[in-house]
Amino acid sequence: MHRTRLAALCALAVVLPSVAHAEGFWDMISLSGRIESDIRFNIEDYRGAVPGQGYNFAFNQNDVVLHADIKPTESLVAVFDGRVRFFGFNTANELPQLSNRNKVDPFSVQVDQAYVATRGLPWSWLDIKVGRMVQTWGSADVFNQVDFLNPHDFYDPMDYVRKVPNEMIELDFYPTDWLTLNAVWIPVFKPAMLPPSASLGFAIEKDANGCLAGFPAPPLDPADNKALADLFSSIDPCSLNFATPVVNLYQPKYTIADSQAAARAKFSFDNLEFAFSYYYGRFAYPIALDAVAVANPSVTQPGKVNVDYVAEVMYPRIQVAGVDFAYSAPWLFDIGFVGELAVIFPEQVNFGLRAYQGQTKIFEASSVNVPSTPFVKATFGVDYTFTRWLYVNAMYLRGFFDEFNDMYGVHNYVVATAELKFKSDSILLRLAGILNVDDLSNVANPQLTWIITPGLEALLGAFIFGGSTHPSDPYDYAAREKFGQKAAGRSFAYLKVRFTF
Amino acid sequence: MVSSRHLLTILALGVVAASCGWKTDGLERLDELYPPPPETDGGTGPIDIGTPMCSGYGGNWAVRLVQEASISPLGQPWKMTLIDLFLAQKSQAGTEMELRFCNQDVSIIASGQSTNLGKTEVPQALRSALYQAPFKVPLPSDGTFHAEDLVWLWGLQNLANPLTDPLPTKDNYLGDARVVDQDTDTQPGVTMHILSPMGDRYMVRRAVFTFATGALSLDNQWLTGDLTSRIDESALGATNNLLLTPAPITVKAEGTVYEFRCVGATYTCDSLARDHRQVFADAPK
Repeated sequence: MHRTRLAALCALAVVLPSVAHAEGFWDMISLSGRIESDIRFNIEDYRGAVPGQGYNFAFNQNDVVLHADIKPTESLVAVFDGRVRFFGFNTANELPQLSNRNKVDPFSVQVDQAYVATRGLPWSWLDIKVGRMVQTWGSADVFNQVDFLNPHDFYDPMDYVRKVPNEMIELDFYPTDWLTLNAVWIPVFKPAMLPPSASLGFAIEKDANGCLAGFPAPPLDPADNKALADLFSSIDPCSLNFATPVVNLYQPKYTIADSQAAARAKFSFDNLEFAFSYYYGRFAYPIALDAVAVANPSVTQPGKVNVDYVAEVMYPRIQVAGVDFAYSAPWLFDIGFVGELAVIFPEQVNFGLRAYQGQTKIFEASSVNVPSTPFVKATFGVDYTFTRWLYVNAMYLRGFFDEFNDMYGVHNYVVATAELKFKSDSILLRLAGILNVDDLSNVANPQLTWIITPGLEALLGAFIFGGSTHPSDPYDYAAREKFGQKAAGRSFAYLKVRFTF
Repeated sequence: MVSSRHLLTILALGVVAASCGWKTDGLERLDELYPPPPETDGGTGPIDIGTPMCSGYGGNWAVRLVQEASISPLGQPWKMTLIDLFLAQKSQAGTEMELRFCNQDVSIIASGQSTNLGKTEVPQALRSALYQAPFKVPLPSDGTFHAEDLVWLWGLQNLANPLTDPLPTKDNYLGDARVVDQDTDTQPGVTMHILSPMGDRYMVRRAVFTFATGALSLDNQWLTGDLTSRIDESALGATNNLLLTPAPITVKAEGTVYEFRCVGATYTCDSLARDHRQVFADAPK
């Protein structure tokens, strides 16, 4: 008995200080987050890998998102952003897998941010951040041409703002009230995440009988692409067994020279903010580098020819000089103006392609896919609140997120958004669209938001691609329509319910 | 004092200079991923043609018929050079030059690159068969060297009109007594090996040559002149269906020549096949 009391006293001696410490700990923490359910339904049947795939559920996703700020002192903060994502589709296809919860109800844990920051240490004019971060540079809404610190995460093509986190070190200097200097070093490069539909950009087209109907033109001169197509034109397309193309990544090495660095000077005045920036690193979207096609007589199917296609993409080195501004014009109804301009100095990329019959080379061609010439990407926009219930934002883009000065080229876009509020702001109708001015393909995103009660909202909308799925010239790499091509994704309707705390 | 304008210029130049030389080449990357086979020695060492002893057209001759042509295996014409190689002697009667086939050297250039698509190789059995049946060039009695419309047949015999008769095809050759298994491999006509698409083609072939008046060098070491050539081929069968349609060959006048070089009596077909580019490197043009 005595021994038991002694043990209980010892336990209290340990636990009580811990509880006291825990109360202090919880005072330091600021928590927020959301729970979101997202159901999507494909509303067409022609943009899938094979015609006829449609009118089915595309998403059945549930996210639990948590954001925590931990501030032990005024000069120290730790930030955590994480989510648990349930994908909502069973992936078990064998009986034993039905005993595996991860197969029947797959999920992933994603940590978007986990970093610590000091404020005013060791000097009052200096902040230091170290860890896993998501940063955005630029003044425009979403379409930030000077922003290269984090690649986009386009796993969900509707979520333009989501990014792939990077581990980085950031120094922020505040020499005056109106000037902020940022310097960032990112040791390791990570590429952008692409939507699942992206692989359709390399997909072989087959007809209903499974016979070759076409393949996407590689970044070669159209005459070379025609010569390549002619290699197969004299052969019965039904005798060709084209395997699914394999696209490998030619990745940067983990060296100091392959790390990324950036600096920015931001000036802030009453109605005007502008910044100059510089970035050294890599373009985060893949650029075609090489491809090889190998044809061999089929051993198992006499008279047929197996064709394998292996391509490789890379991430060219770049330097970027940027400028961005945001200005609210008090003398012109407080219209907001934003602009970003990036001059990109790229690495030259020569694309090369070879075709082999067995071991024998039967075709070779190359092209300058990316010239070393500097090129410009830019965004200019205005936004205006007409009334309490009507807001309009319009932008001109020179270059979409994934566009580089390769043989596809840098295109021009108009982005427009109108937001109308009704019923004491509890109903929000948002009409957004993007038009490619060069090929007239487009994407429309109407959305109706009902704020059921503060913290709880339901969103009903659609994401609709417009344009031809077939290029105007099958031999021209640049003839694909930006939003028309299947690689852009499916058109769908969605219903989201979001609880925010 | 450096002005801000100068500073910006220096910065801009620095950025441009830093990115100078950045380049990744897809073909070089493919060489890295799939290293090309090492180049084989094309034969640049000294050659031995024996002890040449020729007088007039008498003696032993190494012969090549160079035919510059185009071939269209995929619709577009590709550059083709076809070289027939022979060893030749004047017939015992002295009225003909008998050319015994040694080999055929074919090269095809597509988009500036050598390709094996449509390229042929003559199997040993066919080489032997053609060697046994010499191609005869009549020698005019006036001492000149020229001949018109000489027909050289592979896998064919007894054509009523050798110059013009349509060749048998895979659809009608059965029972056609003109088709002969010349290389005795039990396949109709002759068997030609194709490098790409790989396989054997069973075929018949007709080449029609016209030898323009030749020039015999003063030392009787060279006999050269212009050649006109027409080639017809027809497939009778193949190990690969892709080979059933021979690509048409169109021989051009420019660069199509015949070249005879006097060689020793011991000179062989193997030596000629190996060394012909050097043997004929100094042929009079």
